[in-house]
Amino acid sequence: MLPFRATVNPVVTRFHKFGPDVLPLHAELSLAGVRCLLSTNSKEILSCVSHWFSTVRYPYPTGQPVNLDVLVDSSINRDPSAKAHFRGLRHLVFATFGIEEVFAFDLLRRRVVGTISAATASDSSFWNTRLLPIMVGVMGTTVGVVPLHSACLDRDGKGLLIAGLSGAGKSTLSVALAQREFSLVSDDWTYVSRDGNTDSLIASGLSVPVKLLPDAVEHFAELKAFTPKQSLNGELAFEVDATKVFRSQVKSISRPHWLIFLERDNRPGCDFIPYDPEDARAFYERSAELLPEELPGAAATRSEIIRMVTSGNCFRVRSGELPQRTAEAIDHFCNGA
Amino acid sequence: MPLYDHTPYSHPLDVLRRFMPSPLKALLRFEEEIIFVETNDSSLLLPLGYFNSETTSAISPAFHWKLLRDADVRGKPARATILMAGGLLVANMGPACLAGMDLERKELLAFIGGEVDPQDYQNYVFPVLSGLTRFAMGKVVGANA
Repeated sequence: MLPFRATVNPVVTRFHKFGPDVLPLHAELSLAGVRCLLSTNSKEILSCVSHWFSTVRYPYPTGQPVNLDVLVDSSINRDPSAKAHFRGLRHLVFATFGIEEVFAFDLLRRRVVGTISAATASDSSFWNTRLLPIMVGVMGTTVGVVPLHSACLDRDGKGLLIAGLSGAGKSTLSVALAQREFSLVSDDWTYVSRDGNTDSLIASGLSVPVKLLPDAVEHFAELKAFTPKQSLNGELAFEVDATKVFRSQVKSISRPHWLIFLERDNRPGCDFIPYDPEDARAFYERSAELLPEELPGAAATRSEIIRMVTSGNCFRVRSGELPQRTAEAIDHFCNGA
Repeated sequence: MPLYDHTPYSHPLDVLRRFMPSPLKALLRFEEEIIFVETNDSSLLLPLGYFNSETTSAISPAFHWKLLRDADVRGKPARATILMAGGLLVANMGPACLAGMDLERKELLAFIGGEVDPQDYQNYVFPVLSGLTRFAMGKVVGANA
């Protein structure tokens, strides 16, 4: 037989064979209900993600783990200006960051492998605001943790999920609510899973920065000290730490109790209209990422979580008011509900 | 003339392009094996041998390739980095060419950017796809060799 290198030389520069011998460092992370077994050759990565070590954070039972194998290669160059690039086919998803840094997600085997530069290995922001949220978003459904495009706030252990079309103002309203008696769990993506085998749900966030579009500066003077920058999806936005900028309370988990669908209206006022759970369920199903047929279990899990999320107190909130006034109305509504 | 739909694919619920159409399907010869190939660009099949059989329904292909021309990805392929992790092999040539090989399922899945021309494909991309396939077919020894 031919040796592998000979078959593809001279167009290959690097071979990386993953195994315990090259990835001797290990840690177990808990990420919004996803149990992640990290193996690497980099102490810097362990330091960057120590915030997520599972002994610290998630108190609820979780399903099968995701294996995350990351090899740091000092010969890899980092391109700090490179945009993330994603593609997927069947059960495989690829994410590249520049030319040389790559991650591959195997959704069937719940395994993620990647090679990165030393500079990226020690970039805490890369891990905590990019790669780990991406991993939970891509892999979560395969282990019973469903990403929902909704904000989540908590009041006294009761979760308020805020859904709505893109541009409805979910993030802006979330910040306005977090300036009242609510704690911020997430302003954008909330990860929902079952609490063990019970019928109750846990909603989790990943403590990523709040993302606000440039016009949010009209509502929050605190943003005047910042400049919008290009975010992961290419949008120009403020990405700020809510605890520092708005002095908001932040929580990592809550239990979904209310679900509102935010709609902007030109008319003044703020109306709360009961929303048929079937319509709410259809909204989430219609806006969910298409999943490949190789993952029927993931699709079924997602549908079941959506059914459970939408089976409770669902309302449409039509508001023509500023975010702070809408937040005040929701605050009063939740007090009485 | 190669069949190729140059229209960039876009679907709001398929940002990963998983469901980009691949309407061209063929049984082709790869060395002495028969492989089944799906693609949206027939020019990606040119290095493969034509397989002519009147009894294709009885053929059990040794391997399955899905090659997608990714029309709106710019740039040329970089020299490849190969990741080998259990049953998965990944070839990264930058956004212009990303390929994954599933050894158990005998599948090769690849995206090839819109600016990868026939020479790039023949000289850089196809040798990598072929090498991965030979390895998966057990015709080569491991990467340490």
